[in-house]
Amino acid sequence: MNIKTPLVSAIFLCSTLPIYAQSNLSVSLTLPEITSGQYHRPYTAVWIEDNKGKHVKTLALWSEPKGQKWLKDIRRWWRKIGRTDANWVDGISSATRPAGTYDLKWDLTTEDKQKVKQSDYKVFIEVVREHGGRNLLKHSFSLKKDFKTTLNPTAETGPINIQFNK
Amino acid sequence: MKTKQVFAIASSLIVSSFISHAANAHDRWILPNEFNASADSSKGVWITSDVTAGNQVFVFDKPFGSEDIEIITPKGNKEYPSSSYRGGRKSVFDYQLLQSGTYRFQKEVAAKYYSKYKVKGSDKPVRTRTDKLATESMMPQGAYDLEGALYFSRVETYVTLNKPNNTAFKPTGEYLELLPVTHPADIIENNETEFKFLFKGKPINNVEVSVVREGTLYRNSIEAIELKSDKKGIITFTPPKAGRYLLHATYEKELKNNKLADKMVNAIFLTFEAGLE
Repeated sequence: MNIKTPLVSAIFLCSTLPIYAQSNLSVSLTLPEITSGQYHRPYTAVWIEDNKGKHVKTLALWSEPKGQKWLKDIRRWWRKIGRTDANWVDGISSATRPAGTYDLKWDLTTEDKQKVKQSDYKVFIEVVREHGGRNLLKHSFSLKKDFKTTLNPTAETGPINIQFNK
Repeated sequence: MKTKQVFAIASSLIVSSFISHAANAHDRWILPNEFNASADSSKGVWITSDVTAGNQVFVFDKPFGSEDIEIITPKGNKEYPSSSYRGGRKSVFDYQLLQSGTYRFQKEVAAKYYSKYKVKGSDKPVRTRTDKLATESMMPQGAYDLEGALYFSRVETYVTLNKPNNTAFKPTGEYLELLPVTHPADIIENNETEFKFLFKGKPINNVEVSVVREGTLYRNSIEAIELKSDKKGIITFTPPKAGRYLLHATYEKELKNNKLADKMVNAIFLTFEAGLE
Protein backbone atom coordinates (compact mmCIF):
# COMPACT_ATOMS: atom_id res chain seq x y z
CA MET A 1 0.00 0.00 0.00
CA ASN A 2 2.80 2.31 1.00
CA ILE A 3 4.63 1.48 -2.17
CA LYS A 4 1.56 1.54 -4.31
CA THR A 5 0.42 5.10 -3.60
CA PRO A 6 3.36 6.94 -5.19
CA LEU A 7 3.22 4.52 -8.09
CA VAL A 8 -0.43 5.13 -8.67
CA SER A 9 0.06 8.86 -8.43
CA ALA A 10 3.01 8.63 -10.80
CA ILE A 11 0.86 6.83 -13.34
CA PHE A 12 -1.91 9.30 -12.72
CA LEU A 13 0.48 12.18 -13.30
CA CYS A 14 1.86 10.65 -16.49
CA SER A 15 -1.55 10.08 -17.90
CA THR A 16 -2.83 13.53 -17.06
CA LEU A 17 0.21 15.60 -17.99
CA PRO A 18 -0.08 15.17 -21.75
CA ILE A 19 -3.70 16.31 -21.57
CA TYR A 20 -2.75 19.56 -19.82
CA ALA A 21 0.20 20.02 -22.10
CA GLN A 22 -1.58 19.36 -25.33
CA SER A 23 -1.87 22.93 -26.59
CA ASN A 24 0.63 25.44 -25.42
CA LEU A 25 2.18 28.71 -26.25
CA SER A 26 5.62 28.81 -24.76
CA VAL A 27 7.62 31.97 -24.21
CA SER A 28 11.26 31.64 -23.36
CA LEU A 29 12.32 35.01 -22.03
CA THR A 30 15.88 36.02 -21.37
CA LEU A 31 16.70 38.87 -19.03
CA PRO A 32 20.20 39.97 -20.00
CA GLU A 33 23.12 40.65 -17.69
CA ILE A 34 23.43 44.41 -17.42
CA THR A 35 26.64 45.57 -15.87
CA SER A 36 26.59 49.28 -16.62
CA GLY A 37 25.12 51.74 -14.15
CA GLN A 38 22.98 51.08 -11.15
CA TYR A 39 21.26 47.72 -11.55
CA HIS A 40 17.91 46.71 -10.15
CA ARG A 41 16.09 43.60 -11.28
CA PRO A 42 13.43 44.60 -13.79
CA TYR A 43 9.71 44.72 -13.26
CA THR A 44 8.38 42.28 -15.82
CA ALA A 45 4.97 41.33 -17.15
CA VAL A 46 4.15 38.79 -19.84
CA TRP A 47 0.56 38.51 -20.97
CA ILE A 48 -1.87 37.70 -23.75
CA GLU A 49 -4.38 40.07 -25.37
CA ASP A 50 -6.98 39.26 -27.98
CA ASN A 51 -6.85 40.92 -31.39
CA LYS A 52 -8.94 43.81 -30.10
CA GLY A 53 -6.48 44.63 -27.32
CA LYS A 54 -8.56 43.06 -24.55
CA HIS A 55 -6.72 41.31 -21.76
CA VAL A 56 -6.87 37.50 -21.82
CA LYS A 57 -4.29 36.15 -19.39
CA THR A 58 -1.24 37.25 -17.44
CA LEU A 59 1.48 34.64 -17.71
CA ALA A 60 3.98 36.32 -15.40
CA LEU A 61 4.18 39.36 -13.15
CA TRP A 62 7.48 39.93 -11.41
CA SER A 63 7.58 42.95 -9.15
CA GLU A 64 8.66 44.11 -5.73
CA PRO A 65 6.66 42.35 -3.04
CA LYS A 66 6.35 45.49 -0.92
CA GLY A 67 3.45 47.56 -2.09
CA GLN A 68 2.11 48.54 -5.46
CA LYS A 69 3.62 51.98 -5.82
CA TRP A 70 5.71 51.16 -8.88
CA LEU A 71 3.29 48.78 -10.62
CA LYS A 72 2.04 51.65 -12.79
CA ASP A 73 5.47 51.78 -14.41
CA ILE A 74 4.68 48.52 -16.20
CA ARG A 75 2.65 50.94 -18.26
CA ARG A 76 0.67 48.86 -20.69
CA TRP A 77 0.08 45.89 -18.41
CA TRP A 78 -1.04 48.27 -15.63
CA ARG A 79 -3.48 50.09 -17.94
CA LYS A 80 -4.86 46.96 -19.51
CA ILE A 81 -5.43 44.89 -16.40
CA GLY A 82 -3.22 45.59 -13.38
CA ARG A 83 -5.16 48.58 -12.12
CA THR A 84 -8.47 46.73 -12.08
CA ASP A 85 -8.04 44.48 -9.05
CA ALA A 86 -5.43 44.91 -6.31
CA ASN A 87 -6.18 41.59 -4.59
CA TRP A 88 -5.85 39.66 -7.81
CA VAL A 89 -2.53 41.39 -8.52
CA ASP A 90 -1.30 40.45 -5.04
CA GLY A 91 -2.21 36.86 -5.80
CA ILE A 92 -0.36 36.55 -9.09
CA SER A 93 2.74 38.68 -8.47
CA SER A 94 6.04 37.16 -7.53
CA ALA A 95 9.53 38.49 -6.85
CA THR A 96 11.67 40.13 -9.52
CA ARG A 97 14.11 37.75 -11.24
CA PRO A 98 17.84 38.00 -11.81
CA ALA A 99 19.37 37.76 -15.29
CA GLY A 100 18.63 34.39 -16.87
CA THR A 101 16.25 32.51 -19.14
CA TYR A 102 12.72 31.79 -18.01
CA ASP A 103 10.15 29.53 -19.64
CA LEU A 104 6.55 30.62 -19.47
CA LYS A 105 3.54 28.77 -20.76
CA TRP A 106 0.06 29.71 -21.86
CA ASP A 107 -2.45 26.87 -21.72
CA LEU A 108 -4.92 28.78 -23.94
CA THR A 109 -7.18 29.72 -21.07
CA THR A 110 -8.46 33.07 -19.79
CA GLU A 111 -8.04 34.45 -16.26
CA ASP A 112 -11.34 32.66 -15.48
CA LYS A 113 -9.80 29.38 -16.64
CA GLN A 114 -12.06 29.22 -19.70
CA LYS A 115 -10.65 27.84 -22.94
CA VAL A 116 -10.18 30.62 -25.48
CA LYS A 117 -11.73 30.45 -28.93
CA GLN A 118 -9.78 29.83 -32.12
CA SER A 119 -8.71 33.32 -33.06
CA ASP A 120 -5.82 35.73 -33.30
CA TYR A 121 -3.96 36.80 -30.19
CA LYS A 122 -0.96 38.84 -29.18
CA VAL A 123 1.66 38.06 -26.61
CA PHE A 124 3.19 41.07 -24.84
CA ILE A 125 6.43 41.24 -22.90
CA GLU A 126 6.99 44.45 -20.92
CA VAL A 127 10.24 44.90 -19.02
CA VAL A 128 10.91 48.05 -16.97
CA ARG A 129 13.96 48.70 -14.87
CA GLU A 130 14.40 51.33 -12.16
CA HIS A 131 17.17 53.70 -13.34
CA GLY A 132 17.06 51.77 -16.58
CA GLY A 133 14.88 51.58 -19.65
CA ARG A 134 11.60 50.08 -20.70
CA ASN A 135 10.93 47.73 -23.58
CA LEU A 136 7.57 46.56 -24.79
CA LEU A 137 7.64 43.64 -27.22
CA LYS A 138 4.70 42.02 -28.90
CA HIS A 139 3.99 39.24 -31.30
CA SER A 140 0.71 38.49 -33.08
CA PHE A 141 -0.24 34.92 -33.78
CA SER A 142 -3.13 32.70 -34.76
CA LEU A 143 -4.19 29.56 -32.94
CA LYS A 144 -4.86 28.00 -36.33
CA LYS A 145 -1.30 27.03 -37.04
CA ASP A 146 1.92 26.13 -35.28
CA PHE A 147 4.73 28.63 -35.30
CA LYS A 148 8.13 29.33 -33.88
CA THR A 149 9.76 32.73 -33.76
CA THR A 150 12.50 34.68 -32.04
CA LEU A 151 12.16 38.31 -31.06
CA ASN A 152 15.37 40.25 -31.38
CA PRO A 153 17.14 41.42 -28.24
CA THR A 154 16.46 44.93 -26.96
CA ALA A 155 18.20 46.97 -24.26
CA GLU A 156 16.20 45.27 -21.52
CA THR A 157 15.54 41.86 -23.07
CA GLY A 158 17.69 39.11 -24.53
CA PRO A 159 16.35 36.88 -27.30
CA ILE A 160 12.76 35.76 -26.75
CA ASN A 161 11.71 32.46 -28.28
CA ILE A 162 8.02 31.98 -28.81
CA GLN A 163 6.61 28.68 -29.92
CA PHE A 164 3.13 27.35 -30.42
CA ASN A 165 2.10 23.72 -30.90
CA LYS A 166 -1.47 22.88 -31.71
CA MET B 1 -16.13 113.96 -13.46
CA LYS B 2 -12.67 113.86 -12.03
CA THR B 3 -13.54 111.10 -9.60
CA LYS B 4 -14.94 109.07 -12.48
CA GLN B 5 -11.65 109.26 -14.29
CA VAL B 6 -9.63 108.36 -11.24
CA PHE B 7 -11.89 105.41 -10.61
CA ALA B 8 -11.53 104.24 -14.18
CA ILE B 9 -7.76 104.44 -14.04
CA ALA B 10 -7.69 102.71 -10.68
CA SER B 11 -9.88 99.89 -11.90
CA SER B 12 -7.87 99.49 -15.05
CA LEU B 13 -4.78 99.08 -12.89
CA ILE B 14 -6.57 96.49 -10.83
CA VAL B 15 -7.46 94.60 -13.99
CA SER B 16 -3.94 94.60 -15.34
CA SER B 17 -2.53 93.49 -12.01
CA PHE B 18 -4.78 90.44 -12.13
CA ILE B 19 -4.35 87.71 -14.64
CA SER B 20 -6.39 88.98 -17.50
CA HIS B 21 -9.33 86.93 -18.65
CA ALA B 22 -9.09 88.32 -22.13
CA ALA B 23 -8.43 86.17 -25.16
CA ASN B 24 -4.75 87.03 -25.13
CA ALA B 25 -4.41 86.00 -21.49
CA HIS B 26 -1.92 83.50 -20.22
CA ASP B 27 -2.75 79.84 -20.24
CA ARG B 28 -3.60 78.52 -16.80
CA TRP B 29 -3.25 75.02 -15.48
CA ILE B 30 -3.24 72.58 -12.61
CA LEU B 31 -0.31 70.23 -13.06
CA PRO B 32 -0.21 67.19 -10.75
CA ASN B 33 3.05 65.32 -10.12
CA GLU B 34 1.42 62.21 -11.56
CA PHE B 35 -1.83 61.51 -13.36
CA ASN B 36 -2.00 57.77 -12.82
CA ALA B 37 -0.89 56.30 -9.53
CA SER B 38 -0.78 52.80 -8.13
CA ALA B 39 -0.85 52.02 -4.43
CA ASP B 40 -2.25 49.72 -1.81
CA SER B 41 -5.55 51.35 -1.02
CA SER B 42 -4.73 51.31 2.68
CA LYS B 43 -1.73 53.55 2.10
CA GLY B 44 -3.06 56.07 -0.38
CA VAL B 45 -0.95 58.40 -2.47
CA TRP B 46 -0.06 62.05 -1.97
CA ILE B 47 -0.46 64.19 -5.05
CA THR B 48 1.15 67.59 -5.23
CA SER B 49 0.07 70.00 -7.96
CA ASP B 50 1.34 73.26 -9.39
CA VAL B 51 -1.27 75.92 -10.04
CA THR B 52 0.09 78.52 -12.37
CA ALA B 53 -0.38 80.67 -15.42
CA GLY B 54 2.21 81.07 -18.11
CA ASN B 55 2.74 81.56 -21.82
CA GLN B 56 4.85 78.45 -22.32
CA VAL B 57 3.45 74.99 -21.61
CA PHE B 58 4.28 74.18 -18.70
CA VAL B 59 6.65 76.92 -17.59
CA PHE B 60 5.19 78.50 -14.48
CA ASP B 61 5.08 82.25 -14.46
CA LYS B 62 2.28 83.62 -12.30
CA PRO B 63 0.60 82.04 -9.31
CA PHE B 64 -3.09 81.91 -8.81
CA GLY B 65 -4.92 80.83 -5.71
CA SER B 66 -4.89 77.12 -4.94
CA GLU B 67 -6.64 77.30 -1.55
CA ASP B 68 -10.02 77.07 -3.21
CA ILE B 69 -9.23 74.26 -5.61
CA GLU B 70 -12.04 71.74 -5.48
CA ILE B 71 -11.43 68.03 -5.57
CA ILE B 72 -14.25 65.84 -6.80
CA THR B 73 -13.63 62.36 -5.40
CA PRO B 74 -14.34 59.03 -7.14
CA LYS B 75 -17.56 58.89 -5.11
CA GLY B 76 -18.60 62.36 -6.26
CA ASN B 77 -17.94 64.24 -3.02
CA LYS B 78 -16.33 67.65 -2.96
CA GLU B 79 -13.14 68.08 -0.97
CA TYR B 80 -10.39 70.68 -0.64
CA PRO B 81 -6.57 70.60 -0.53
CA SER B 82 -5.02 69.53 2.74
CA SER B 83 -2.48 72.31 2.39
CA SER B 84 -1.51 74.95 -0.10
CA TYR B 85 1.19 77.49 -0.72
CA ARG B 86 1.33 80.59 -2.84
CA GLY B 87 4.73 81.55 -4.09
CA GLY B 88 5.98 84.32 -6.30
CA ARG B 89 5.66 82.35 -9.53
CA LYS B 90 3.32 79.48 -8.74
CA SER B 91 0.95 78.05 -6.19
CA VAL B 92 1.05 74.50 -4.93
CA PHE B 93 -1.46 72.28 -3.18
CA ASP B 94 -1.36 68.81 -1.71
CA TYR B 95 -4.06 66.23 -1.51
CA GLN B 96 -3.98 62.58 -0.49
CA LEU B 97 -5.83 60.06 -2.63
CA LEU B 98 -7.21 57.46 -0.26
CA GLN B 99 -9.75 55.67 -2.41
CA SER B 100 -9.25 54.02 -5.78
CA GLY B 101 -10.81 55.77 -8.73
CA THR B 102 -10.68 59.01 -10.67
CA TYR B 103 -10.51 62.45 -9.07
CA ARG B 104 -11.17 65.80 -10.72
CA PHE B 105 -9.10 68.72 -9.49
CA GLN B 106 -10.82 71.92 -10.55
CA LYS B 107 -10.85 75.62 -10.16
CA GLU B 108 -14.04 77.26 -11.25
CA VAL B 109 -13.50 80.92 -11.82
CA ALA B 110 -16.86 82.52 -11.13
CA ALA B 111 -18.49 84.42 -13.97
CA LYS B 112 -17.37 88.05 -13.98
CA TYR B 113 -18.10 91.08 -16.10
CA TYR B 114 -15.33 92.96 -17.80
CA SER B 115 -15.69 96.01 -20.00
CA LYS B 116 -13.50 98.22 -22.07
CA TYR B 117 -13.75 101.55 -23.85
CA LYS B 118 -11.51 103.99 -25.63
CA VAL B 119 -10.78 107.62 -24.93
CA LYS B 120 -9.65 110.18 -27.46
CA GLY B 121 -5.92 110.36 -27.93
CA SER B 122 -5.22 106.75 -27.03
CA ASP B 123 -5.66 103.57 -29.04
CA LYS B 124 -5.27 101.41 -25.98
CA PRO B 125 -8.63 100.54 -24.49
CA VAL B 126 -9.37 101.28 -20.86
CA ARG B 127 -10.45 98.08 -19.12
CA THR B 128 -12.78 97.80 -16.17
CA ARG B 129 -13.90 94.96 -13.96
CA THR B 130 -17.52 96.00 -14.10
CA ASP B 131 -20.42 95.34 -16.41
CA LYS B 132 -21.26 97.59 -19.31
CA LEU B 133 -23.91 99.57 -17.49
CA ALA B 134 -21.69 100.37 -14.53
CA THR B 135 -18.79 101.17 -16.82
CA GLU B 136 -20.90 103.55 -18.85
CA SER B 137 -21.87 105.46 -15.74
CA MET B 138 -18.27 106.00 -14.72
CA MET B 139 -16.41 106.45 -17.97
CA PRO B 140 -15.39 109.96 -19.00
CA GLN B 141 -17.44 112.03 -21.39
CA GLY B 142 -16.49 111.44 -24.98
CA ALA B 143 -15.36 107.89 -24.33
CA TYR B 144 -16.33 105.52 -27.14
CA ASP B 145 -16.30 101.89 -28.33
CA LEU B 146 -17.72 100.58 -25.07
CA GLU B 147 -17.85 96.80 -25.02
CA GLY B 148 -18.73 94.44 -22.22
CA ALA B 149 -18.20 90.72 -21.80
CA LEU B 150 -19.05 88.07 -19.25
CA TYR B 151 -16.15 85.70 -18.63
CA PHE B 152 -16.33 82.26 -17.14
CA SER B 153 -13.55 79.70 -16.95
CA ARG B 154 -12.64 76.31 -15.57
CA VAL B 155 -9.16 75.00 -14.92
CA GLU B 156 -9.12 71.27 -14.39
CA THR B 157 -7.32 67.96 -14.49
CA TYR B 158 -8.01 64.31 -13.68
CA VAL B 159 -5.89 62.05 -11.49
CA THR B 160 -6.54 58.32 -11.12
CA LEU B 161 -5.51 55.95 -8.35
CA ASN B 162 -5.65 52.29 -9.41
CA LYS B 163 -8.91 51.49 -11.23
CA PRO B 164 -10.46 54.47 -13.06
CA ASN B 165 -14.13 55.42 -12.76
CA ASN B 166 -16.37 58.12 -14.24
CA THR B 167 -18.27 59.59 -11.29
CA ALA B 168 -16.14 62.76 -11.13
CA PHE B 169 -17.00 63.56 -14.78
CA LYS B 170 -20.56 64.48 -13.85
CA PRO B 171 -21.41 67.79 -15.50
CA THR B 172 -23.14 70.56 -13.57
CA GLY B 173 -25.16 71.88 -16.50
CA GLU B 174 -23.63 75.34 -16.12
CA TYR B 175 -21.65 77.23 -18.75
CA LEU B 176 -19.12 75.35 -20.88
CA GLU B 177 -18.01 71.91 -19.69
CA LEU B 178 -15.69 69.23 -20.99
CA LEU B 179 -16.87 65.65 -20.65
CA PRO B 180 -14.18 63.02 -21.29
CA VAL B 181 -15.32 60.31 -23.70
CA THR B 182 -11.90 58.71 -23.73
CA HIS B 183 -11.10 58.31 -20.05
CA PRO B 184 -8.14 60.55 -19.10
CA ALA B 185 -6.37 57.47 -17.71
CA ASP B 186 -6.68 55.85 -21.16
CA ILE B 187 -5.21 58.62 -23.31
CA ILE B 188 -2.35 56.98 -25.20
CA GLU B 189 0.12 58.26 -27.75
CA ASN B 190 -0.85 57.52 -31.36
CA ASN B 191 -4.35 56.53 -30.27
CA GLU B 192 -7.46 58.57 -30.91
CA THR B 193 -8.78 60.61 -28.00
CA GLU B 194 -12.33 61.88 -27.83
CA PHE B 195 -13.84 64.63 -25.66
CA LYS B 196 -17.27 66.16 -25.62
CA PHE B 197 -18.24 69.78 -24.94
CA LEU B 198 -21.45 70.81 -23.26
CA PHE B 199 -22.93 74.25 -22.87
CA LYS B 200 -25.58 74.43 -20.16
CA GLY B 201 -25.59 70.65 -20.18
CA LYS B 202 -26.17 70.26 -23.94
CA PRO B 203 -23.70 69.30 -26.68
CA ILE B 204 -22.29 72.42 -28.31
CA ASN B 205 -20.56 72.86 -31.64
CA ASN B 206 -17.89 75.34 -32.69
CA VAL B 207 -15.98 75.26 -29.43
CA GLU B 208 -12.47 76.28 -30.44
CA VAL B 209 -9.86 73.97 -29.03
CA SER B 210 -6.10 74.01 -29.00
CA VAL B 211 -4.08 71.06 -27.67
CA VAL B 212 -0.39 71.67 -26.99
CA ARG B 213 2.25 69.23 -25.82
CA GLU B 214 4.54 70.37 -23.02
CA GLY B 215 7.95 71.83 -23.75
CA THR B 216 7.07 74.68 -26.13
CA LEU B 217 10.07 76.58 -24.74
CA TYR B 218 12.39 74.00 -26.28
CA ARG B 219 11.03 73.81 -29.79
CA ASN B 220 10.63 76.39 -32.52
CA SER B 221 7.08 75.53 -33.42
CA ILE B 222 4.20 75.30 -30.95
CA GLU B 223 2.80 72.25 -32.80
CA ALA B 224 -0.70 72.94 -31.55
CA ILE B 225 -3.50 70.66 -32.60
CA GLU B 226 -6.34 73.05 -33.52
CA LEU B 227 -9.89 71.71 -33.47
CA LYS B 228 -13.53 72.70 -33.43
CA SER B 229 -16.28 70.67 -31.79
CA ASP B 230 -18.86 69.16 -34.13
CA LYS B 231 -22.66 69.16 -33.81
CA LYS B 232 -22.50 66.51 -31.14
CA GLY B 233 -19.99 68.59 -29.20
CA ILE B 234 -17.25 66.10 -30.04
CA ILE B 235 -13.57 66.62 -30.76
CA THR B 236 -11.20 63.81 -31.70
CA PHE B 237 -7.46 64.03 -31.98
CA THR B 238 -4.42 61.78 -31.74
CA PRO B 239 -1.63 62.77 -29.35
CA PRO B 240 1.51 62.25 -31.43
CA LYS B 241 3.79 61.51 -28.48
CA ALA B 242 3.54 60.38 -24.89
CA GLY B 243 3.75 63.32 -22.53
CA ARG B 244 1.78 66.00 -20.77
CA TYR B 245 -0.60 68.20 -22.71
CA LEU B 246 -2.57 71.38 -22.14
CA LEU B 247 -5.95 71.73 -23.78
CA HIS B 248 -7.45 75.20 -24.07
CA ALA B 249 -11.05 75.48 -25.20
CA THR B 250 -12.94 78.71 -25.79
CA TYR B 251 -16.53 79.34 -26.66
CA GLU B 252 -17.93 82.79 -27.38
CA LYS B 253 -21.59 83.53 -27.50
CA GLU B 254 -23.20 86.80 -28.45
CA LEU B 255 -25.55 88.14 -25.80
CA LYS B 256 -28.54 89.79 -27.42
CA ASN B 257 -30.62 92.44 -25.67
CA ASN B 258 -28.29 92.38 -22.73
CA LYS B 259 -27.43 95.69 -21.10
CA LEU B 260 -24.58 94.26 -19.06
CA ALA B 261 -22.48 92.62 -21.76
CA ASP B 262 -22.28 92.09 -25.54
CA LYS B 263 -20.91 88.57 -25.35
CA MET B 264 -20.15 85.72 -23.05
CA VAL B 265 -16.74 84.05 -23.18
CA ASN B 266 -16.21 80.57 -21.74
CA ALA B 267 -12.79 79.00 -21.34
CA ILE B 268 -11.61 75.60 -20.18
CA PHE B 269 -8.03 74.58 -19.47
CA LEU B 270 -7.53 70.84 -19.11
CA THR B 271 -4.18 69.25 -18.28
CA PHE B 272 -3.78 65.61 -19.23
CA GLU B 273 -1.21 62.94 -19.91
CA ALA B 274 -0.83 60.78 -22.98
CA GLY B 275 0.76 57.52 -21.89
CA LEU B 276 3.26 55.32 -23.70
CA GLU B 277 1.83 52.61 -25.90
